[in-house]
Amino acid sequence: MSSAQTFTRHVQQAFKHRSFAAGAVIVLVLVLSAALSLFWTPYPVADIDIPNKLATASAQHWFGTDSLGRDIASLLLVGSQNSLLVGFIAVGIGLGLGVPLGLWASAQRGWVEEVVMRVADFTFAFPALLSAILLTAIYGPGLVVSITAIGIFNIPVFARITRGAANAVWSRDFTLAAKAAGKSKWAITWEHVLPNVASVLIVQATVQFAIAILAEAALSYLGLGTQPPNPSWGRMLNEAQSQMFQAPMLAVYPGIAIALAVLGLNLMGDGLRDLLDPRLSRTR
Amino acid sequence: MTPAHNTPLLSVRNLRVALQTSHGQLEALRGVDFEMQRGETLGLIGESGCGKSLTALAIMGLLPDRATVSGSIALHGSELTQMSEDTLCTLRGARMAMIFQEPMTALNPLHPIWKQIAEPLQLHQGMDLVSAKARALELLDRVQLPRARERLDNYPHQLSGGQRQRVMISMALACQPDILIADEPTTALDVTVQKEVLALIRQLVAEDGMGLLLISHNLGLMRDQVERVMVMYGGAVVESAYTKALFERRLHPYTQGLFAAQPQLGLKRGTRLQTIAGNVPEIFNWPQGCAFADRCAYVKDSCRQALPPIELVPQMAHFKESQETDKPRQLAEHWVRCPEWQKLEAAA
Amino acid sequence: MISAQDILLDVQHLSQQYALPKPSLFAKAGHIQALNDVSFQLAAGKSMGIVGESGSGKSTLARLVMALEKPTQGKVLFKGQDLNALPPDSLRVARSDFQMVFQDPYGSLDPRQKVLRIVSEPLHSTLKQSSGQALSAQDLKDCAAQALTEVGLRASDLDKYPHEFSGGQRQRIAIARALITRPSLIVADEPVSALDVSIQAQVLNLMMDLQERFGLSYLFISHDLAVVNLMCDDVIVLQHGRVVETGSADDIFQHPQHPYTQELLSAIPGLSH
Repeated sequence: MSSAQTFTRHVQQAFKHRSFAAGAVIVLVLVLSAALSLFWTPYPVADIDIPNKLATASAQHWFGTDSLGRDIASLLLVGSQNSLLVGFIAVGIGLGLGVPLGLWASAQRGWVEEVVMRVADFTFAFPALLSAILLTAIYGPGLVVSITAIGIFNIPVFARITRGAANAVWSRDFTLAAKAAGKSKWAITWEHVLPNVASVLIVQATVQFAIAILAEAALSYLGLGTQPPNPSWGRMLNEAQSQMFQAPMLAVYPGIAIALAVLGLNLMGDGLRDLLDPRLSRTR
Repeated sequence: MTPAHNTPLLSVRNLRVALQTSHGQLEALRGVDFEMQRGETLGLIGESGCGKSLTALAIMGLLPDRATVSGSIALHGSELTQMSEDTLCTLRGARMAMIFQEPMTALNPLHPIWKQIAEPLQLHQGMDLVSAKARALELLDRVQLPRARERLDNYPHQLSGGQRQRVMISMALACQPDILIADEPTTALDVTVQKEVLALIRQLVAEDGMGLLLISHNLGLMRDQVERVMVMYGGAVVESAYTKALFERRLHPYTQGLFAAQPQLGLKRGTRLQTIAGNVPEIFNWPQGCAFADRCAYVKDSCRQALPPIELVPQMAHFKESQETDKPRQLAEHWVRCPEWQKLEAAA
Repeated sequence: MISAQDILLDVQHLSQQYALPKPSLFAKAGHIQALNDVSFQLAAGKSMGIVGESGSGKSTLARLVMALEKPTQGKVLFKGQDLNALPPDSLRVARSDFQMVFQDPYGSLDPRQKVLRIVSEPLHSTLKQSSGQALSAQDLKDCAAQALTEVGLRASDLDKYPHEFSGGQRQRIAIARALITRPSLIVADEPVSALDVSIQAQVLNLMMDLQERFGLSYLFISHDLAVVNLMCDDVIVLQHGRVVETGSADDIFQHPQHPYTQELLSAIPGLSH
């Protein structure tokens, strides 16, 4: 069976799993709307239309308008770009720096492992969101700083989980067999350890993605994330606060968007965890 | 009230177990029949996938939900397959007990050992904590755990494999059950420890007059420990005989192959062992008839169509006198599921 | 006595200590003596059995002979070379001459790699060091296919994953991997203990056939005395890291001198009849 055929078969089997299928669909919608918004939105997001402000949902404005008359549907679509960007980059930083650290710690053991883990512990000791706020206070608010801050706090997460999973792989005989075959520690790490921890990392990545989206929303809500005029779901929530009694729906739409994104990612992560479980793979 | 003398302690008739797997509904046990009297020791031998552990679990009612059981399992005449889970819970630990292969995973790592032994006592005999702890100490002494009093508060990880197995035996015997099922109880242990633990089991079983169902893949073990042996292959018992009789002659091609494949100490260095051609078929590949058909030198067409029926083998002369006459004839004698057994007897 | 040229493996006063985890931050770490002054010699073409129970140090001995760990004391001389004194590159080259088969057929093969990669792994390290050109992918594939047929599997099995095979077949794959560099010595650590009796017989026969065919030497570690008796010329009995008895298989099993050896023999089930 060719790789393409095996891949399609795996995907088909994956979609039989309810959690994964539901999550994947939601995430797909998210990705597609972000992609779409790059080319087209119902209205330009910068367009202010004061006469039509706080309009309720209608044919012209599917979700109504906000306090400046901007179309909420368009704001949501463009806002999804930010959320995805934050997710990818923050998780990317975590994977790119955390995984090698974890692999290194696991391969070396001894004091290297101790130091890496204690530094990770140290970073964990700082509440991530507050530290992100601190960073934005030092470096000024904005998307870049908030992504970096969130990304930095992903590093120990991935370092820790990689180290744990890698230790389990090192204890299995096939790494010893590779050593007996003459492979160096690094070759074994790259060829044997990494593929066997990949499934754990993929699952964790989806979880961290959701956390990153929430973190960005929180920071934007506080005014420290994406700055105006760039739309952000979090900031939309903030702006909706002052309009709570006149137009409560203003808070609902971005809230649902955030919740759906997080839900979709978590469902997908749950599904992936089941699907990638090595014990189940034997029956396939 | 003692049951009537001719009600067997355990009676298994046409036990079939079907498992729901990714390949559909598969029959994992295909009609197991045997009886056990009080105080009798019975061995179940076979290789992986033959269904011996499944038989034990079926008797204890511990099969997973995706398994369907049909046939009859009767303990002292009471039908176990019809019982509710609650009723079964009252029997498990109290009237029938099981010990498992891997004591480290069978014991709770978070509870001290006295607590684990006290659990069946509290559950089935309604003992309070203090008396249960005292009884736990008695039981640990009985299983010859050295320095039992000091070890009461120990956790499983603080004990060696053999010691953990002794703890498991004392848990099983706490309520003095009528039947003890031991599923590969010494496979994970060193051979010197194995000898002690098996001797212990033999002694306790004899003292309490329990029935013992011993499951193993080791022929030598069967020879030492049990009066009767059943050989399983592909979800069915293919040969059943008194241990002595079985060690004198084997009349099923699989049993012959199994005996011939074991390395003995006396063999000359470099002797090739006799092997059974082919591999054990996976459960989803079991043929319609005898599961051994594809590997059998004596196979006939009828073997492939349906599971061969039980054929009685006349006992050898010197055995007839030593048998008790009130055992049900059919199931106590040497029988085999092979239409060609006479050919095998002639060839032996 | 074995002449100097015929000695394949010469283990001299091998000792191994492991540090135990520290009971508290400032306490001294205790240590465990896994092996204590073990010495023996293995001649080319012969087989040596290492018999012992858990805690005897037999697996540690296997790892030390394979130079997977450095001993606290003592030397492992393979074909006259001190393995632990070799620079890493030379050691890597030397490894193609001694290989290992592990106990657990489920753990010794990487579940994420195809059989082709698994079996040809020992060849990868010889690629760069060999004086001629590196082996091409096709050469690797041919070698692997040949190794598989030598152990009774098929060349078409190269494309499969370990989970598609049974325990006995996986052990054959592990043996193929050990054979592919045509080593002089194979260290087999309980190679058949995890297998069913009828499969065990097949694998043992295979190992005996391969020994005759390729002139292999085995360092055969097992707790099963009957298997050791079948496979090995000489035997060493280990207890708590020390050699308690050594001799030819016939001598040890028919006339055991040490009480521990006698205890091991008497503990074999089914023998008292």
